Amino acid sequence: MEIKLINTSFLFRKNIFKIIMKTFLFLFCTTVFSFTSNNVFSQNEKIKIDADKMLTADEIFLLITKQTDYCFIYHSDLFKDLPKVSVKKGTIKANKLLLQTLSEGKFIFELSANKTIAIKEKLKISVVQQTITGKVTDVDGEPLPGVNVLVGAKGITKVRGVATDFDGKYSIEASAGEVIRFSYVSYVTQEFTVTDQNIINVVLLEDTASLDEVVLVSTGYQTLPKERVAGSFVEINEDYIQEHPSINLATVLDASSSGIRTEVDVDGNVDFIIRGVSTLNASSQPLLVVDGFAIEGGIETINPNNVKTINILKDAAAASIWGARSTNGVIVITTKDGSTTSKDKIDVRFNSFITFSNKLNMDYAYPVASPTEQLEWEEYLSDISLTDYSGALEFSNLGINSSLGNTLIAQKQKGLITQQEYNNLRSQLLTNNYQSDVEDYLLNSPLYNHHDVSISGRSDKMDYVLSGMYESGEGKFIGQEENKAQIGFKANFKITKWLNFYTDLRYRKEKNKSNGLTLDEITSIPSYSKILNDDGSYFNQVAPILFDIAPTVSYVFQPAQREFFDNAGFAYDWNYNLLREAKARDFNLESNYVRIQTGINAKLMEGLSWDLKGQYERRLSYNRLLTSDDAYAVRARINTLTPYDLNTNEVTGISSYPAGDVLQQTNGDLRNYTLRTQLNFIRSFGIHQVAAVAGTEFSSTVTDNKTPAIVYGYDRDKLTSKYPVNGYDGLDNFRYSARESYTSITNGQNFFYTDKRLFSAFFNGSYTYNQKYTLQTSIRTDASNVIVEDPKYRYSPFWSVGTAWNIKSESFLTEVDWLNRLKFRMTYGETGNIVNTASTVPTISHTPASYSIDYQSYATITDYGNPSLRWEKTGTFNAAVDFGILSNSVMGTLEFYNKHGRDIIGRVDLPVATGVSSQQFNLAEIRNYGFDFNIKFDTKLTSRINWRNEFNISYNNNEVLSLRKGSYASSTLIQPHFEEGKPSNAIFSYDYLGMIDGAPQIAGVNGNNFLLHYPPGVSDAHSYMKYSGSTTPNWYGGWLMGFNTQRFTFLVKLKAEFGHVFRTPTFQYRGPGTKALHEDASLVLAESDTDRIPGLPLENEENIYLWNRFVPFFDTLIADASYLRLQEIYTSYNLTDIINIKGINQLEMFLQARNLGLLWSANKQNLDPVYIIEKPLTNFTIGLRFGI
Amino acid sequence: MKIYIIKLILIGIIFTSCDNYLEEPPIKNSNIVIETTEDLDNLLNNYTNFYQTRDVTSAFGTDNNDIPVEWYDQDQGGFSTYLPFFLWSVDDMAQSSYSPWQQEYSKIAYANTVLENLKKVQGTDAKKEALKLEAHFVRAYSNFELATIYCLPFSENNKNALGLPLKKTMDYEESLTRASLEDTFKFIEADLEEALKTNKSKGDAWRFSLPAVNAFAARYYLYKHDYNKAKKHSIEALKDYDILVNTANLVDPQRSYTTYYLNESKDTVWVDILRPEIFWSRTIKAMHHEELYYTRFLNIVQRYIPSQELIDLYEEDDLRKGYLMEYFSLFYTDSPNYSAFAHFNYSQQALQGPTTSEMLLIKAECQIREGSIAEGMNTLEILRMQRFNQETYTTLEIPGSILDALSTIIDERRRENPFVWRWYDIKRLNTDPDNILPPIEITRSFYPYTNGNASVGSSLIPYTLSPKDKRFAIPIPVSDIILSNGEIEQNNY
Repeated sequence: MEIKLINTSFLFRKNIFKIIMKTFLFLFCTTVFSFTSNNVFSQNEKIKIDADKMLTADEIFLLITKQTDYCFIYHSDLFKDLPKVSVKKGTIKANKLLLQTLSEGKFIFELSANKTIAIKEKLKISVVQQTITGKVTDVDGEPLPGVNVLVGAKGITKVRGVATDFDGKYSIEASAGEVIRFSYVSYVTQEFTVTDQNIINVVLLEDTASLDEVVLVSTGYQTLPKERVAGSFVEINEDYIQEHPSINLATVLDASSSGIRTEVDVDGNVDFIIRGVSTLNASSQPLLVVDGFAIEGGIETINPNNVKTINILKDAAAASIWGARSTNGVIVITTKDGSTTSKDKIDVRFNSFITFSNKLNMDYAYPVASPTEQLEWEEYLSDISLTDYSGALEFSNLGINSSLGNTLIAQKQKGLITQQEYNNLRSQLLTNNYQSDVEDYLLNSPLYNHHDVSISGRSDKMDYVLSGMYESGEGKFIGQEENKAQIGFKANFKITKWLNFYTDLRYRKEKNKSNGLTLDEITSIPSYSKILNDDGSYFNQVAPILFDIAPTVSYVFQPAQREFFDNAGFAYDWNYNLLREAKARDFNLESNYVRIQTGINAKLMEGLSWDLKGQYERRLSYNRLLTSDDAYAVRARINTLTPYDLNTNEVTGISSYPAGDVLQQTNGDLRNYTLRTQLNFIRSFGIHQVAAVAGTEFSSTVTDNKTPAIVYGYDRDKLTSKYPVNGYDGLDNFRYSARESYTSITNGQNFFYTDKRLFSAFFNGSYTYNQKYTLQTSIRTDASNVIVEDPKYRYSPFWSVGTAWNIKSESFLTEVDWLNRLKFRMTYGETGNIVNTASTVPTISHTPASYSIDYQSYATITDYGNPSLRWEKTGTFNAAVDFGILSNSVMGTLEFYNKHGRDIIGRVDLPVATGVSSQQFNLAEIRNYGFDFNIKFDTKLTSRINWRNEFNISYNNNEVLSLRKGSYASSTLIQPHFEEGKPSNAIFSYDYLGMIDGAPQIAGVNGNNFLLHYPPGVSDAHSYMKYSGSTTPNWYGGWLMGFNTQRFTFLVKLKAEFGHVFRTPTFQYRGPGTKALHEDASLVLAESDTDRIPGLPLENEENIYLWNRFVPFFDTLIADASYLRLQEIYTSYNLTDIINIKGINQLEMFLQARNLGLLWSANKQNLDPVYIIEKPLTNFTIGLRFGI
Repeated sequence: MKIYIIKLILIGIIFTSCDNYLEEPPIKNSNIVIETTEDLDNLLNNYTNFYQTRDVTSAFGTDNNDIPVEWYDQDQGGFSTYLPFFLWSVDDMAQSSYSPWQQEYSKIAYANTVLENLKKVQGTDAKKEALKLEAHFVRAYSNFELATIYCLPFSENNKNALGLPLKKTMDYEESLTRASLEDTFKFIEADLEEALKTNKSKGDAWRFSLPAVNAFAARYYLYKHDYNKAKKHSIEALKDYDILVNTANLVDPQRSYTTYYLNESKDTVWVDILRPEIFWSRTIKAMHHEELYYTRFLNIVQRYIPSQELIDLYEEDDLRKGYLMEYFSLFYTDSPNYSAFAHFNYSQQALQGPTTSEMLLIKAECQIREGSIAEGMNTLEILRMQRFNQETYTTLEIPGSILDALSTIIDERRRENPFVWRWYDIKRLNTDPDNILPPIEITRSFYPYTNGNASVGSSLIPYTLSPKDKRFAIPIPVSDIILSNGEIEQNNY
């Protein structure tokens, strides 16, 4: 017999307690459970919780009494049957904590004047049947509509029920002694035994303990508790996003969830592949939905810190609501709003960080032969007379690119220099260190600043978030600058009781500046080159062929010729230097993006509301490439088109190509609008819960790009330009050119216009019985503006059905303590895909009249059309089990899926007698099956340290089951491609047999080997090539693990992929050229690895220039691409309660390191299979978050 | 209640406007729906699609042609694609991508697209009628090309031999079963008769005209051994158009290329200034060539090589020898990389479309076959006058027999267009019911050749194509046999 009295020094005995209790009962009999903030604790009484943990009721009372001046009186074993309560780190209102603690029992609280609270079990008092009314609100007094109110005998077996209305009110008949239960998603269920009172007002508390379980998932059209959905959803919450600070939301999702594979390029651009590739022609990227609208702006337009949740819809049931565009999955992003802010309070959050990294690792990106090896190769070719340099210095060979070494050899051969001079010049060349010059003059240490702020608030009539972001940075090459700014305003207004208006406005501006340097350009120059001479002047490098630089120049003169020309009187010099080139280029990209989403929501009747909403997006981009006449690309063009007499070596006129800078511009315009009207229904009828949406949608996406003619002779100060004196294609450009070959002056004008239109009608409904069994279905039709003969072919039905069984709710499992959650789900559905490029009727393109075709215009058939063409359809089956054990400290999901695309549009080879060699048909079949598994477990290592783990792994088996394609050329087979019976991205290799009789040979047809000249002339290269595997992994996963204490968080993220292959780069066998040679040169020169790659060519090998078409695709260069990578380390320290500054309610510092490299890789060369040429830079982020 | 009404109205508006909304085409530049007769006219004006044919057999499979082993030794890769046709290797011809099968069926597809869309497009009836007749002509021309290459020669005995898959629509499900040779020729003839309804006079030669149809008809009926009709159509063609260009005028004193070369001391020497108008207009000039009724070219990349037998057929003052064989080729280069034959300074093109010279030769041949030897020889002289050095030329004596006269005509045909007409000639002459000339057998010596590989350096072996050889119908590309699931039957060998 003992009584516990906490915070006092004496013990009550049980009978004393009873006496006191009876006294209080008398005083409080009219409101049995008038449990509001006014009568137990004052509103501001808060309890700090130091870490996530499980506490008994007794421990919670101890906690409350320690931190407040209340004390409690209750019977010592009163709470012994109550379950432990999970509490989260942070502060919680005392009221809330108390209710949460006692939610499972029936207790009465009695407060005495000296802040002593007595707690007792409720008594049962019998009264007659009566009408009970009341109002259900949350702790802030906001009415909760749609709360289930059930009445029945104890245990709620045979029940009747109602739901609260929009004002949170209800009315129900009940007899005394019956139990009345109030339940609402993500709130703590409360039960009372009916006594004689007829008004029961209830305050429901948010269920912090079960928040992990009751997750809301958003399909973009509706939000439902996860317990009631059958489809396959992945949720990524705000906390996860915070723990992955990034300037790009896509990198947050990298390796975050099972079933979603991310391919991140070296600059951080991400491609998502959800459960394998399931289309051949259409986009394989998932649909991106932001706040209910598919957006065109791309994931980069979303500021990660504005995101509340991300839901990824993986199966048909989840995604079919998005119909035509959902075959590759849907990423649904919900941005933050003001609804969770405390009422009448302004919440301000700041987030700032700096990201920095080292310079690019040239040793990895530029694994080139040493200067000596480079020269030795060039000399070897010369020695075996494979390279005839005799003409290399001639005017006729102006077009041949040549390296400094080749030029030197040529000078020696022509007798222009002696052997002694050659040796001297050669050793001079070998002292150069191009690589370190690159690091000094062309590379930069990237640095990015990111700042954002959000201000949110809420009142009775509205809530809002105002956010701003600014970012600036410098890239990895000199002259690369980026600036981004974004503002957003999202608000929701309650105009009347039944009408809401919401709006979301975003504006983003980006400015990128660069001088167009690329790694490719840098690595084109051999290692014995350099950038600046000792006196600071530009070293004359021999240029590579320049691609993609305006205007394209493919000829570079050799030094000897340059000297020759230097005296001719050309307007410009003929020297080339990459640094000079970079400085002469001024490339700018500017874009302005605006997104407006707005709509109204009207409540029509209980549970039924109507939405009318729309989105408008527009991105105007302006790309400006200005190349000054200091660039070789421009100088050489002007010089080349100058009339010139070779016999006298004199310029005889003015260039047809206008002197001065060259300006190229492109104006991009992307605009999208979407208009949707939608009916929503969500209501409970007793133990029956129904949710449905239906509506229609229109959208149009226009891409309207205009490239005006290239501006020549541009003067950026005077804003003047020059017209080519002989016109763009004029014959005189040809007649009077220094090289006497035809050269036109590019006009470059180009227009591009597409309009993708879509009309959709959709329905999605779900029914849940007794919170155990859910049935779900969706139907949708989409119609796009594909070209069809009969408009009815535009429409296609998509549908899905699903079912879920919440087994944990079954009576036989309710008693199983260790099992907290068990749910089976199963869905099947069909989704589709648009292939806008396919047509059902013949289409043509016109070629306008021009000089070259005798001023006649003509038309070409671009597509003969296929009248039988229909939408692509993919059927997806998904079966899953969700589980949670040991108080949900271990939670996970295992899902199996089979995605079978049956009407995939593939380009099918036809007998050419049909007139068409191939046409698109709905004939291809692709199957993806596999499983996704994720598990999350938290373990307390000590009372303070929590060990966290989130682990996901996926298996995907992808196979093209059918694709009628007759033959494959070797050039197709070496590339990742689709073919029947193989996974997507299959690659084939040449079967290298080694050096036979001094020459490398490859297995050919019927046992005939062939040399590296031309492949055998058979139409199908399968007959002699070897299958190497797929470049897409079968297994992939991520593991986020770490520790946290009350203040400190430390996390590590790993990423792994297995089961695919890649080609390792190697030496490029080539004649005289300018490109730097690969470091395998040492193996080639020593002929020490001839089982893998060929050695030195024989003297009569005239086709050495053809070797490169084969060697990179040898089977001996295929390597296993499996790897395990250390993706990220994150650590944060919460200073909120250390620096006790009034007004600051959050203060947190964080550090992050990303792209830390491989922990393990299967290939022997220690190459990163994902980043063979260039590894993403390891970057470090340091930042601060604080809130007021 | 108001809201219900507003909503119903909105939904109503949305549904009714939907079809119009989706009529907007998705891409403007490249996917234009055919709407007018002008669109169809532009399709037929697409000379890039029509003016070339890759008839490797005519260029490499006859006794006019040779690949000397010394040349082959120097450039095996360059010749490898032509060897199957040179040596009539059935399996390798079937594998080759150089077969003109696809090219000609693509032209037929353009014609069928025009025919199928005529009813749907806007335009005058007269224009539609003209387009219809031209499409029939295009189809007839290509089907005849295919028939002369892939089918046995036309004869009473071969009537039931395999013809062509006759594509009449763009329906991908349409049967590709090969019609009989007789039905194939009936189909061509039906298209031809339709095209003959035109009264269009000759304009741009890459578009059809009545003279062009007549000229083609003359060629067609000559192949069918219907010499009356062949003569009639050749006369009709010549009546409307009979311009001949003297070969001397074709020889251009300024060559179109070579701006420099290295002299003996290895210094650069300019030999010529490039003439841009020639550079640009080679194709156009060829297309406008005045002897053409209808512009088609045989297009084989730079490798027409005359056999010694052919070279021996030319007399010294035959300008064609200099123009076709020497001036631009043998004279200029001793390398097999370059053509030994060229029209229009452009080494790839040989006249494939009907010409005035062909009409004269057909007319002459038919006259001789009728027994009017002198008339026939007179017709021949009209041509020869333009082909020989006029200062030294003397007319031929009138032969005493039809056989001799006919031989003269056939030799003239070999000299006039050696890499285009010969295959056609051998096939029709070997099945000629008149049976005047001795059957033609082709023999060669070359390295042993198997599986696409010639055993370089081995001793040469003989290759023979006998007069009744089944290989006069060259095999259909094996890819089409496979892709049609056997619906297209391969020739029997």
